[in-house]
Amino acid sequence: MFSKYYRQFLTIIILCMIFVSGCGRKKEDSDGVHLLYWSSSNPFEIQLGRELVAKWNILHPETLVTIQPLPEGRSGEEVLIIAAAGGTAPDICSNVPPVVVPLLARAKALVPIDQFDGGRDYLSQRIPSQLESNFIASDGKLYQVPWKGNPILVQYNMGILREVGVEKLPETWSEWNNLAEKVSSDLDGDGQYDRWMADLNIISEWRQRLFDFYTFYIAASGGMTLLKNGKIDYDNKHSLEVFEFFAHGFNKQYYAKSIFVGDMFMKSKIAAHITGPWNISHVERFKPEGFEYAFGPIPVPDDYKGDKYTFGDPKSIGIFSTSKHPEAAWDFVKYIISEESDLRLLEICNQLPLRKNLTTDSLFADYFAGNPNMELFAEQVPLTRGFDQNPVLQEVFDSINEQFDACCIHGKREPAEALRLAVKRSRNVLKARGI
Amino acid sequence: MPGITVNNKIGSGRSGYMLVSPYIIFFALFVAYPLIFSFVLVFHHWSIVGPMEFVGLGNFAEMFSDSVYWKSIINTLVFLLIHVPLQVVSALVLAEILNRKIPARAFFRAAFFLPVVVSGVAVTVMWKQLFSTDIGILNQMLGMIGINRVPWITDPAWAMPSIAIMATWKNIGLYVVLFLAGLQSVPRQLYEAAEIDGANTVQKFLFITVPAINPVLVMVLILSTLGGFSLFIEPYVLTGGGPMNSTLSGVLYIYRQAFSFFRMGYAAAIGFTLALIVLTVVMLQRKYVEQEI
Repeated sequence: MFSKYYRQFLTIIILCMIFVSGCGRKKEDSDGVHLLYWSSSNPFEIQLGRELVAKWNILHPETLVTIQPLPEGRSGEEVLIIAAAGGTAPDICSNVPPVVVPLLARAKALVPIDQFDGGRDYLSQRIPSQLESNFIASDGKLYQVPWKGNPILVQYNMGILREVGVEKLPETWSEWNNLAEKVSSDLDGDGQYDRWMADLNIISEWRQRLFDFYTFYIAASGGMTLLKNGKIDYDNKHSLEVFEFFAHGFNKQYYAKSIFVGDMFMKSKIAAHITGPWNISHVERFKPEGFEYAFGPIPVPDDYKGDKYTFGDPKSIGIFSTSKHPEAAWDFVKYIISEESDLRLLEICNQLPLRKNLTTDSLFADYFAGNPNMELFAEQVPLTRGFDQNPVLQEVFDSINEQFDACCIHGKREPAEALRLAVKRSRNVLKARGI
Repeated sequence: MPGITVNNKIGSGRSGYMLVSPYIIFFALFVAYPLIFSFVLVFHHWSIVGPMEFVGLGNFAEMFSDSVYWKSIINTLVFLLIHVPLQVVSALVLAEILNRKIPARAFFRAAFFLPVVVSGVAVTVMWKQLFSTDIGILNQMLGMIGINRVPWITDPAWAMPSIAIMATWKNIGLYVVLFLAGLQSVPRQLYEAAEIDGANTVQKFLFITVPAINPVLVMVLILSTLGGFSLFIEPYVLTGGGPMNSTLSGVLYIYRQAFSFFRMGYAAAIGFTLALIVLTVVMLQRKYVEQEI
């Protein structure tokens, strides 16, 4: 007979074993290949993912895929890094922000697409040629599958524009500022502005600068990004002009220094909203009676000549190196980015696949005929820029954010000095990390 | 005594170890291991994924020359300077009022405690609406009496005091309960004797109540100081640390370094120095505030 102490000890051990066995994350592969796929937690993408996975599992019973939405977190980057570090990353994730890819690639957490037979060529045939270089790592490999993009444009409240007597959507900074001068006003006569040109997010976070500084910088510079060959490349007149442009706007109260709750665009408190195609379905669903809107390009300096670029807000698919079946995962990825799946991406999510000839391919013609605003965004896709492939890019953005906050929003620093300090900190970051 | 035996055999010790083993295992896994691991981290560069790189005291060298780090420490101290006195005084005054026979006393006691049990994020989102400069309720009310809009969380000078007000409101219920328990343990005879000696209300409060509840006062001071040093949710949700880093607390800076820039070693170094600062401040509080009665 065991003594009571051994019985207690045995009970604790058994409980621990039950606990540990419950922590397993993947099914055993004794009955075929099983893949875990994380989609975005956006309800439309969950719907798309479930539909695609159900169809795949019927067609490929030998490679069963389980879908899970990306676990909640402040950002996709944070969730994926922690999952990769903790060994809980899925086989495939379709919500990989390209900004985090260099860090994951450096840690060998992602499988390079180059290792799959014909993988690189397959993607070259799919992606618009102008965009491919946006995704290539400094070692020349491709650690992500560019999947979709959301070009950023300006959505205008046409009711407000008509009210102030402006018919043409602004294309230059002068036109934008002229409109802003007319729109930004004190409507109720209490001495304080209650309508503005746009609702720039004044939260001091690097991500927020993607939709003001970075978008306008890409447009003003004809498609430049922050780095070139691993070196700071935004120390130029374009970024200085963008700092001056926004500093002027905040100083003139074109943009409220406020943190808004609710949709200021549909409440007609602002005339322009800097946004992507995802906002179309939102506005269509919630717009008040008679609300009219139109999309225009990101305004550029008055003397600008050339194509109109913008920030593309791309998202990629990644295959994690912890996958036991990378080849099967690659087959599944090819299925996600097939023409038929891309059509469903458009139809269900109103998001644009990064695909050549999107607006000329007959497969998508019906969709664009029914969604003319989406066609505008689709035409913009080749003229977008994403993220430089550098592991400390967030800190470079944070350097800009810090100075944008001080200079443009709060007017505490001159644009030239703010830019100098941002560039100095960015260079120090690159130097300190040995990059 | 019949039925009661004292077991001095070796086996009884084994039984004791077994009973405490769940806590020991929990402590080892979730306290000791992370603490030791983070101490190791302070001497390394580590991005969570990938190998660690030994840098000796490099993280500390960088930290001492990092102006944003110093800004975050100063911000935390500014927050404490506003929050702790405000918290202690307002909780004590409320407890004193709720200790008297006022109408609906039970309701008020429950009402003041309600924000403590509500999620910090929910509270912060609600205050975000109140604080909104252009459409917030607070400014609309001020506007009714002819006062200009206050940039509560969008001006560097106003942002931290606004957060301190919100944090005080959120936590006041807890400290009111503690003070109430303290107040109810003060013997009534002391007040009666003081009244006979001609003491007024203020004198009774200062010379009887405050010394009598000194242990509670010290506890509230320490708890609110610790709470203040761990300021995170409010600036994280409300301001993101801005405007111009004016609400960037020490803990928020640790979070930013760790989970925005994935600099675990640097974040651990900041964490250890912050822990040392907390320890020093709490020891000073105990030394100068705690007294025998």
